[in-house]
Amino acid sequence: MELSAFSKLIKPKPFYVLESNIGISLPWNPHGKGERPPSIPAIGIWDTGATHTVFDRSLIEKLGLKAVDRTSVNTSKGRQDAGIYVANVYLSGNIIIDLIRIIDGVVLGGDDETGKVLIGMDIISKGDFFLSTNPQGQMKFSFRIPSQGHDFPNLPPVSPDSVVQFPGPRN
Amino acid sequence: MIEALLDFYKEKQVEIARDHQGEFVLIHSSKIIGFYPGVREAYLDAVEERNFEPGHFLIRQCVLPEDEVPLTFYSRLG
Repeated sequence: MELSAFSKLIKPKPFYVLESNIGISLPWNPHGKGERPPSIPAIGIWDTGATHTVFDRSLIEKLGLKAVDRTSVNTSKGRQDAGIYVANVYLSGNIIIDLIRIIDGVVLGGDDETGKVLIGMDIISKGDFFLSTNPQGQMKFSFRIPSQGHDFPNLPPVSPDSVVQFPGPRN
Repeated sequence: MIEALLDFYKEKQVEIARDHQGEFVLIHSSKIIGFYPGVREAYLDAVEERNFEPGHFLIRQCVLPEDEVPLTFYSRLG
């Protein structure tokens, strides 16, 4: 598999949200004989708190996806039922995530009309995800696939956690 | 459609999961078509090899009822 990657700068508006423009489509096998279906644009929100990738329900309807299964999901609002689908996700850098399981749900945040997609750990864990903030407050995130290992250029090697301990409240 | 396929799966769940724990089962027309290592393989067999119409088959990971866990979203899913 050929290495593909992209980086993006994020400014707080007023908070940092890792968003990138993506495309989504009906499931399509890039190595098969079938014609590539049209994709539609969406906003991808990179979310390490999501175990799976979620399409907002409006996008499921827009694509005309048909469920292959159902499941239960735990959200901040409690447990609810959701459909499971198979679809493709297209990222910057010509990255194609093909035939991946998708959950439907109501993706919170944003007020524009472009549908939202939570890019969950099932996609993030397929490659290397890198996040840094410079002194000017610009956050840069990068993603590359396939994984090239734990080491990024110019980063210190992994070391044991050294977490500052704060004293408890004063009496 | 999907509910009927789920009912069929649930009837056979213990038997299926005992022999195929962690694999993905493809069910169509109340028949077990096969077991696969992932969703991708199951979906390609269903659509490309067998010409099953999307929405008319079930792909489910085989786990015992007591091992089923809900998917979890700590943020942004309402």
